[in-house]
Amino acid sequence: MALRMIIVEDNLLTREMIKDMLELLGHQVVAEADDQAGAVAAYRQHKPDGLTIDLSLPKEDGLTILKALRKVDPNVRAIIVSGNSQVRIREEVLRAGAVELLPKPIELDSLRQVLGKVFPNADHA
Amino acid sequence: MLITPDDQKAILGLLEAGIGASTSKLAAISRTQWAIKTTALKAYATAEDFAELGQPSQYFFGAYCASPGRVFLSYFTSRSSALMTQAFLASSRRGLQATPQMQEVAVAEVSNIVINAIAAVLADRCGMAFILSAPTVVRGGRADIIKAAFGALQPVGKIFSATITLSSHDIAADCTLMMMLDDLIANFILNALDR
Repeated sequence: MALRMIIVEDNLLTREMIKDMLELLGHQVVAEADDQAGAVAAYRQHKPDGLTIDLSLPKEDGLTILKALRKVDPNVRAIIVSGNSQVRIREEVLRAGAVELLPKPIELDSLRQVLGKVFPNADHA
Repeated sequence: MLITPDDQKAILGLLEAGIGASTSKLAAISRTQWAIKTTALKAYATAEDFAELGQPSQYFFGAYCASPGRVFLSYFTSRSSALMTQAFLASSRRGLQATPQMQEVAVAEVSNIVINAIAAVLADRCGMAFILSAPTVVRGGRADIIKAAFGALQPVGKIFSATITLSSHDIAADCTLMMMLDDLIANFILNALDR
């Protein structure tokens, strides 16, 4: 089963890289956003299987966006992407309802591993 | 607050521990090894202290990330930033071109990654948790870049700054990391460190 994903990321290059890797793993990127309004609108429109959300974004941080998405869908499945590996932030990310934290720089194997945990029933090429 | 030589040594030790994490991230991106070239500390820094730094003709790309009381800046020479951009783009199969705009985007993300690596060590060792801002790209002479980062810090009291320059012999590239802390945060860190 291929996943339908939304990418929430402000950095063009990282967005392209995540898209690239998701497609390489056999999944589909149905929308991209770089802030809360865009992410919520895209989520309502596309009802994806999950999202990747960058933690540090210019307008709102990834945790704020995740909390907004959980109001739309309490079962939202989000992977927070970040170079921030602070122990207490990781705890906060998981407490906020993220399913996993994906460290930057993003590598194909680590993305595959995280997707395997979050979506155990999907195929990840 | 008076920052003593022992305090400076303690913060430098912490920074060097964090640098290990940053060099690992740089190595993962560039696929080369990185090592510390120089370190410098300044207990009572002002933007003017850095006004004369660097040759006016030298051009740098960098980015800073901030959180109340602290700013982390990372910058590269023009040549080094071009090399890092190529390395970063090489991991994408979309054939993205290393245009000047893409160079800024790449430097922002590389800086974001190395800055957060060092910040994580600092936070974990001191029992802190903070989310740094998204990177703000800066470019120009060294003094201009540093002054821009200073401008993002709205300090309580004096500013403590530490600078570490890293180099990769394999690709003849360098990366400078600066950490600027205000009195409040520097004091918090010193109290948290078990010395």
